[in-house]
Amino acid sequence: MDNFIFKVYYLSFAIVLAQTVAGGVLAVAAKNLIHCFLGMVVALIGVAGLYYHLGSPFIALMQVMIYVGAVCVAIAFGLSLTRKAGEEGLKPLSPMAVVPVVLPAGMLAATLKGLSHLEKTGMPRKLDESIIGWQLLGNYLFPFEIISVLLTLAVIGALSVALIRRREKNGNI
Amino acid sequence: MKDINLLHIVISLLGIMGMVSLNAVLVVWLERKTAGRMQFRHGPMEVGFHGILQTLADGIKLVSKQLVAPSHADTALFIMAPVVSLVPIFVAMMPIPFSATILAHETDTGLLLVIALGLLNTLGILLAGWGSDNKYGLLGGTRAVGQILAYKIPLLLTVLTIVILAGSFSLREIAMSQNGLWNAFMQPVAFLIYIVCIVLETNRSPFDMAEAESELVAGFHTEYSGMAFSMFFLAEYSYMFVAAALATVMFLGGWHGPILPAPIWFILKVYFLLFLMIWFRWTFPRVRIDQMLMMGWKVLLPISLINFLITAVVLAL
Repeated sequence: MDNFIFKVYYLSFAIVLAQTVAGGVLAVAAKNLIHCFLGMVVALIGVAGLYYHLGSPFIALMQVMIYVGAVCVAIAFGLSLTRKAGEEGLKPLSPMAVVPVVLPAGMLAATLKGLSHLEKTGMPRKLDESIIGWQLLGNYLFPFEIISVLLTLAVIGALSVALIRRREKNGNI
Repeated sequence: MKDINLLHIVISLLGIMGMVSLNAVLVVWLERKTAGRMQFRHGPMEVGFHGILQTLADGIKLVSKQLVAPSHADTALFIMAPVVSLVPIFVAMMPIPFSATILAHETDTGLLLVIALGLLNTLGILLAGWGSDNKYGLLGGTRAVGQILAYKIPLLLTVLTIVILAGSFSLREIAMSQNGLWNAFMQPVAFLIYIVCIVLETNRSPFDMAEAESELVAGFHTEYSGMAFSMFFLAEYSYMFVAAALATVMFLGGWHGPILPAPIWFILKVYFLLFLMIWFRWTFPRVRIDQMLMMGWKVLLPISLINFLITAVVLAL
């Protein structure tokens, strides 16, 4: 029974890996801007799947919520404000584009090979969510706060840029 | 990871698929009946007892219809969109607890799971709008994205308020923590904001900006016909069910209630909320998109933020 579960795990890990790579390739290589966007979504969901397989469903769900649900949707909003998105198509890729495809593919093959010894190593342990909380607000409090300040700065920056634009357009606010 | 039982997951997925279809049949019937009664007519009466099988007949008609893709449509996106819209539902329904023991998959992060997957609906609408090469569709998709951006933050803040009250992301524990007093009475502001947000999230009138029949023909699904169209509908009614179930768990005490058995209380509360949403649709006129965005960013966001802060401070004291 255990052996069967390892096989299922291995297979689903491989599928998620393939999905991530395929999404990444689509995001870089597609001619149509919307297809690039879709490739990015597929790759990000794939990354969430990888987190899940590595024993952290919390981070996987955060990945789906923040990257797919918020970042991608915001990008989509930006795209839809441009001209009819994807009408013109992008430049064809240079042959050098093979390099960033081959490199991660090799790394992924190595990962899969490492995973094939699951019987010996056992499944990844599930990470308790409360540990993440304790670590973030304990040992890593300082970096955590610095990132919050950075994000606040980004919001203020965006606001000030928007206000300057509006002032230029209307004369005053 | 070790407690994942494949057979269990397959059986619960099958159960959820049945539940999704049954729910759609019931809610569509409820919607048409309510609409009819509110407009002094009977609604569907012919098929079955008081028209209860009407939705089934409509479903058979839709399945037998041809799916026509516009000649310049992006066929891949066009076909993918309804699937993207519907499939996350099956996973999002897994952690919903119908009682303390009846739930498909117990997980510590159930609330996050439902909310994260609930967001993918927007993606489906967006792809449909883009893929169908139709200006009404594109406008509908863009509006869907705009409204999600505006209302996601208040929604998440109210959810966070409940999470810090219950001290858990697990839907089961959140429901258990309200054995005495429901959160709807402890957090009335959060409850109201949540109700507004889910009406919006599920694209229901008065916030159905992505469809807006009077402005955009049918919005994002203008070009869809047959089964693809009915998949959008199935998705809409299933998201309504999931949102109402989440509201029941977070604010109405889940399955708690006197006399009747637990799952029946849960279903009753969920369908009461669904009826509320239908009631809204046939009572309020549609708002304008700028009014809606204004309300999201300038009213709901500050109120939910203040509510969250006050709750956090009170809990800390």
